[in-house]
Amino acid sequence: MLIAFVLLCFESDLLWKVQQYNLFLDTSLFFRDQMLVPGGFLSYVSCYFTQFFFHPWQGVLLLCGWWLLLMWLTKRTFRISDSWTVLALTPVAILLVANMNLGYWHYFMKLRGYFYVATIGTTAGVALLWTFRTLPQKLWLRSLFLMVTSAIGYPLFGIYALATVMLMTIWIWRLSQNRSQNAILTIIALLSIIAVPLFCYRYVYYQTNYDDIWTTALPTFLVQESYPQYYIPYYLLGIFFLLMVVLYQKTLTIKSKTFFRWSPQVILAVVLIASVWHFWYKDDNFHHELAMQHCIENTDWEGVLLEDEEIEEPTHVIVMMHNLALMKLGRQLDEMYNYPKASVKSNTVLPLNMVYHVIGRMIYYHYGLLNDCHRICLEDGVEYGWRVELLEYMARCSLLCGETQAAQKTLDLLRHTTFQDKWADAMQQLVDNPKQIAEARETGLITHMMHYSNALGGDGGNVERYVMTQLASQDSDDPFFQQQAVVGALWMMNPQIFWKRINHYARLLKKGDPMPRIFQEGAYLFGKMANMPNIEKYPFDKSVKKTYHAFMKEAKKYDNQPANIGRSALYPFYGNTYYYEYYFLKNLH
Amino acid sequence: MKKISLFTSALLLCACSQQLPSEFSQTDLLPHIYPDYVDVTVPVNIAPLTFEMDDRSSDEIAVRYSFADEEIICTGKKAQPDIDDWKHLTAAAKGKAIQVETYASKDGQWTRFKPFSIYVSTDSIDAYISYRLIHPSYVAYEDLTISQRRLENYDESVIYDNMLCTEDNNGQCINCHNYQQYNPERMQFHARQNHGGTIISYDGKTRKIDMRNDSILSAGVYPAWHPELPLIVYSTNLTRQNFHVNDPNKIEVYDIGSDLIAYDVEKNEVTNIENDPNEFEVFPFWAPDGKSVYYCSAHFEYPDTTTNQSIYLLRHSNKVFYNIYRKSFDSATMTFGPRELVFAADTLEMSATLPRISPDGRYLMFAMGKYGVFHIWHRDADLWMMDLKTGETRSMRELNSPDTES
Repeated sequence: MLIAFVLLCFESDLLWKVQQYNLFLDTSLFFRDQMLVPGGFLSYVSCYFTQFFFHPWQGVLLLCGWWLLLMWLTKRTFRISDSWTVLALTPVAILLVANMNLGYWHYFMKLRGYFYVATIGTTAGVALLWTFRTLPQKLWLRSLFLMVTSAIGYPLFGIYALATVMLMTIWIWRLSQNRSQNAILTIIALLSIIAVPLFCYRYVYYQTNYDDIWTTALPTFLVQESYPQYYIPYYLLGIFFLLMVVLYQKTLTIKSKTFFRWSPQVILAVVLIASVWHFWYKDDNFHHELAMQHCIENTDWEGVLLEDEEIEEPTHVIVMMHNLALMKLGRQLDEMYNYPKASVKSNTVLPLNMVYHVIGRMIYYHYGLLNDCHRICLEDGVEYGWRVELLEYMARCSLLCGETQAAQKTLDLLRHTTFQDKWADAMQQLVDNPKQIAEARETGLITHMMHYSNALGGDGGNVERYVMTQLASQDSDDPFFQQQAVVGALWMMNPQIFWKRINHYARLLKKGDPMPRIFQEGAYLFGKMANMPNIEKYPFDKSVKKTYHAFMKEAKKYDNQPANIGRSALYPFYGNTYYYEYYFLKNLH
Repeated sequence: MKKISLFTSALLLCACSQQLPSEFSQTDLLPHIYPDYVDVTVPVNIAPLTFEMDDRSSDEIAVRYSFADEEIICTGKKAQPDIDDWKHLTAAAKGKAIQVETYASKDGQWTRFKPFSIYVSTDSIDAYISYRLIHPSYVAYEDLTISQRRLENYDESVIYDNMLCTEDNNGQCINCHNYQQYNPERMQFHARQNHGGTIISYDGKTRKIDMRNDSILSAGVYPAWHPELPLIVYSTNLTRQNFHVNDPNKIEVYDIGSDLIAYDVEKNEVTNIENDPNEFEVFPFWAPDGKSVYYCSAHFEYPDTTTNQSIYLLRHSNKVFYNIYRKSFDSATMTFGPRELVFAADTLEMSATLPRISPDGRYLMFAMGKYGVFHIWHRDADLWMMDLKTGETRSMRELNSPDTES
């Protein structure tokens, strides 16, 4: 109950994301595709259960159901007495940590269904151990069971079946006093553990590397280098069951008063809860990012801004989603510079560009750079496996690009999911009625962003620079796009580019439409920098000039000091001006 | 035993109980089916032609394939003839045509479409086709295989899987599998990166070679086996790729330099054939008689002031036009003659690539697009055919579509 409560209250956005990243299709091809590697069945079943996190309460109920089953099996298999029931909670606590300490790894997991794999693999293993214990003590029967567990279990459950056979090998010596029989069974088990993966490698599977054949169905924590600390929960899981096997039917009697008799249980429970709490990845920004992504998926732009209200030091991912929401709500020019400037790095050991990998495709999509969104989807699909989110973005891009067949193909795939079929049907409306695209809530504004002229290049992994460079390098007669083009030019801090974009924007303004303040600040600043003779004759707001002169006067005081001193000192007074942006954040761009 | 007989009879009854709808409306339209088999000609040994309606408006289809008194009736979401029934039918219709009647149901209402034919050639096709099976992508790759499928049924098997030699971050990209005269005993493919090299299998002996040396641009890339001799001509390429910001073609793949080399399989020797720095030679292909090799070449000169060839070519990639050339080959001396122009695409401001010669040596088929070398990414690219005897060249309108042909 406690776990379910915590997961639902604090991790519902993460759970939603997990299902977005683990595709399950009800097709025979999807099943066959999973079965290409040992342990593929485990991935298949895990993906099936993971999809229920679409409604987090459903997913959590199922997950807790699996964990209750595991606890019950653990207690029955190892005949844990009622006074030591809390022991059965240990594997659940470890499995919880294995999932909840991943943080940004969630975005980079290659093992399909990873959120459930260890849970279902362990549960299957314990069930097999229980069956093994209850078998009659006949050599042939136990030998057969060991061999079948290896031969059938390995293709289905990968390492979990091998680990189970290994535990059986050790357990034999606790279950039976017949040494010669035990020795024979041990040899059979060890041979099975060695031979079955080798046989499968040679004759059954062609996708498994030799180095990985004994560890299939374990996640891979490798990005440029290995991160072995994330395997610790898996080691602990193995050690726990090893101890359960070795200490099987050992009784620990505490002849004491009730309090002391129960105290070991209480202590263990406290240790488990404290450990789970300690290793649970609780980074605020990580969770804010997830919540904001969830809001964006639901086209809830107000929700995005509500989410980041309390953030003091946002990551760059958050800043970009914040600006995107402002743009969508038409508040960007007034509020963009009000948000905290300095962004902190994402709290992760992974040496990867999080803007690119976490929200790159989303940013490209909403800024109308559909080729680039599509490109990231393809690359990530190949690298990490096809995900619901990737297919959704690919369908969106195809739809907006007028590639009807491609959109149809992707939507047809999504119709084979359990929960995305409604989304696919909604998009189908747009495929069938392309005129509605410009009016639709999600796609309407994007159609205003599709005015880029073509060029060959690449983003070099820097999403913001790429978007701003593209925007700043062209004009459009669409006022919404042109406004973004001026924003891009301001970001570039290049006066020549700025003048081109702002002049075109000014021509698009209707009589009486005000020129946004930050655009005026840009124009006044660049005009002063170039000593334009007529700059004072232009109709700038008085406050624009006044702020400029006040800022320049204050900024001069910090001329010979490190930039961060002036930056901090002037931020409270001028942080929402383009002058501040230009002089103190130029190098950060 | 009796129970088994009854069960078997019941099964057979079910299998034979597929029937065409008795009530339906009629249309003069041909059915939109996927794959589009309407009026195609197939080899006699081809696997059953399975298809479905190419729209979402049908709940179910019923199809009758028939010739004379032989017929197969299939019902369901797809038409999937049983392979044995299909073999009987194609054998009977050899040299003639199978009639296909298609009925589609929507909300319980059946429509009968205009029947079409599947013409059965008396010729058979080679039983196997091999291909690289890879997820669509631009840069990244993970699992990919060189696989083969038996065209007489749907059996597929893997020839080589790159994951076998992938270690942690060191992946392996395999490509350019190629055979000498369709002979599976004489095959080559490249493996890039981890444990990289060109794997050549020749009459039972398999070895990996590294062709790279200081005098050539790269290891061998696009291969062409001599039809009889142990000789493979390769292009060597310095290939780059960039992305279109806003173009349906998405990506541009181009060479900033390319040459031709020849590799003697028996002597393990590499020799230069063409290495003019102002010519980008690529896509060699032998004439069936082995007396000449066709290839493409684009004339492109970098200005002396060029400091970065990649960027210069990136900006001028739509000004690179490939022509088709031919070089004679003397098998006695193992030497190549001077090049001769076969098709000057640049005069049309077009680019011709991937020359292929018909088995009788008379026809040259190639891909032609507006510019560049990698027409698979060019939606304007079409197939063209040249009669080498008359010099007549035409677009193959009967094959081309508004999308890519290459």
